[in-house]
Amino acid sequence: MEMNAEMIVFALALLFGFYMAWSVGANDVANAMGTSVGSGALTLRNAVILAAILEFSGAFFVGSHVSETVRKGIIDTQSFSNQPMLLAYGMLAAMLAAAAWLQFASYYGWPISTTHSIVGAIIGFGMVVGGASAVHWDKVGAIVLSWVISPLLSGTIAFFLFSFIRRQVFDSAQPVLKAKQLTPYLVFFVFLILSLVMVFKGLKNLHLDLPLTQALLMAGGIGLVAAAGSHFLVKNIQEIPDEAETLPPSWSLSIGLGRADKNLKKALESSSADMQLELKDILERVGRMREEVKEKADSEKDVVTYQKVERIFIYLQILSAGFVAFAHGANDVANAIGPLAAVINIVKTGTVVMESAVPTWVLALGGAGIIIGLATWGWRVIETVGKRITDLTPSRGFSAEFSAAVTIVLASKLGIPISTTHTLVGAVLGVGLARGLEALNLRTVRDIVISWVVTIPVGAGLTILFFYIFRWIFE
Amino acid sequence: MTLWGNNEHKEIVMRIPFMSMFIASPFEGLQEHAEKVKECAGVFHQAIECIIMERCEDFEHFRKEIDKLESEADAIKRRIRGHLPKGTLLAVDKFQLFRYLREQDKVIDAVEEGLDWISFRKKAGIPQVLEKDFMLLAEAVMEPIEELSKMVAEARKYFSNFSADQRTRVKDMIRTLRHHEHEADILEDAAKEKIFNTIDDAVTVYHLTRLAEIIGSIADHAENAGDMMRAMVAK
Repeated sequence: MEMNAEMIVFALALLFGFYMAWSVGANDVANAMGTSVGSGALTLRNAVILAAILEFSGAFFVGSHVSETVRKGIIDTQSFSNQPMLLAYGMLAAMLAAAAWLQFASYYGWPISTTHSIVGAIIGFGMVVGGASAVHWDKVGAIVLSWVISPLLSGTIAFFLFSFIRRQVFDSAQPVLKAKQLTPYLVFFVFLILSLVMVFKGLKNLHLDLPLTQALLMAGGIGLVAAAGSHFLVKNIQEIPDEAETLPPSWSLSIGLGRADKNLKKALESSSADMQLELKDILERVGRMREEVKEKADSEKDVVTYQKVERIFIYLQILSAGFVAFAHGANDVANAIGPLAAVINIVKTGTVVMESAVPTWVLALGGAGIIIGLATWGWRVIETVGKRITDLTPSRGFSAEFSAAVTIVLASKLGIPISTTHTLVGAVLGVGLARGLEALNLRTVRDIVISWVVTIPVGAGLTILFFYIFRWIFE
Repeated sequence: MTLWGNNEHKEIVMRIPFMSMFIASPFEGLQEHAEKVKECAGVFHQAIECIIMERCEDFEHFRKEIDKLESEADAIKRRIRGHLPKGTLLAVDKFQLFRYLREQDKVIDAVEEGLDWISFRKKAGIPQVLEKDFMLLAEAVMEPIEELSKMVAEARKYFSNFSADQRTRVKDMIRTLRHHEHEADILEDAAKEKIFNTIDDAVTVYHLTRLAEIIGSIADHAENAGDMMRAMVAK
């Protein structure tokens, strides 16, 4: 009987864990990829493939840090060493509670976070079953603080990044040239940070955890190579759209009128006196028209220049969207894998000894869950976001996504579970504050703050309820 | 098919907090409103031409046309205001935007008032000696109104590309607007002076000076709108 209950708990844990991973892939990946699809930078198909690869990589290679925190950083698992199955029920209940709350909130469109629900759920269970002393309050305090800090940080970075791009590129005399010059530097930073996360005390799975100096050297090298590559890529790309394609319509009109002016003047020289008066009148009218058209052509030229700049930023946007996908996989897989790994460990060993790391196959399972979520549901959300959010042009999208991704990988590295969506919302607001977006609804911010306050008690309450139900069923 | 069944589109929209923060830009409405103002200007010009040149019978038709345009513009104005909830972050100051809109709207109001004022003494019309002056004045206020819609379009471009050239372009337009207004002012004063020195009938004098003032105020409001725009494109 005992064995049977364990098997059922194990199966349920797999089911709930998979559901959580599915949910992460289904709902949140769109935040990163949607705008790239919307701006035409990526086709839906390519976006899904890119997201799948990067989400999985993030989850598999860097996901263990945050998973460890969720598994054993929030509550003191040792206080359950006498009754290991209680902890298993608790983790199971936490997953179910988070999933249920997520589903409920989704129905009403509340901007709650998977991460916050699962953390709240585990705190609630720990407090009721293990007592207040079973909760690592210092760690919980740091986590909760990070929820406020992460959107602020990403928002601040985005504000300065977009302001910088605005001043350096858009506000310059040669925006296209400036954008081309700036690209390698931006690419360098993306790759530097990304590879630093990977190689500095990371990739334990692959036994590739280098000390800081070595990691910095390696990351710097990778960044330089990527920057050099981007330099040539951008340089060549500008050759492709030739002038004929991008020539504003008023330009050809302006050229035509210029020719007419020239020919009329020629005609004027060789015309008789009575014709001259009429010709002069025509000349004057052509001159007025030329002026008008020239004004229009100048304005159109600006628009074309702007489009060219945005075309360069498309590459950066794809890069930053991929960066977000990676960071997202790294941080959010823990919501599914952390509790699941705890249950698996208990069922397998019969104890709460948690010295062993999160098993690699569990991380792979989490990554697979995200991909399946993406394939079954997420692509639709990406499509919807892409169609609806057109304001986030490549330059804006890059600023927001890059800032969010940096914040998220930083948190992942520190093993702090944060909400990727809230971080991205903060980044978009940062771009908005830098006057990069015409209009933003700040009610989302208010809703997010409310969700911070509500999610923890609700997650905790539901978990306690489910915990008692599980215990009643299995014992 | 999915966990949520088939009404997924609604679910998708609701689930994404990221999406709910993007709202329609008020600049779109601003541009629509400016187009209405431009249409009004066209009708006003025709109406003035009609009353001066042809002593037209069908003056009511123009008034109705303006009425229609005014209510359409009003709907746009209300839509802009209604769709900017309290917590809206804009690339421009919200109150500047509203003040701009108010001035742009006042242009239409002034046009409407002008036609109304003419209609109160339709039979008398405009005395022949002053025909040319009023024609010139009416033409002079046309240009700033037409400049408005162009200015909104260019300003909007500025907020997407932040180009220094684009900003200069908007500023130039505002300067042109001011220049036009000044010219209209001179014509208004000239017309008034002529009214007082050529017309003896007090009622006519009152009617015509007031009319000159109303027509002049069309340009004033266009200029004010330009000044508001100047504040919006300030760095």
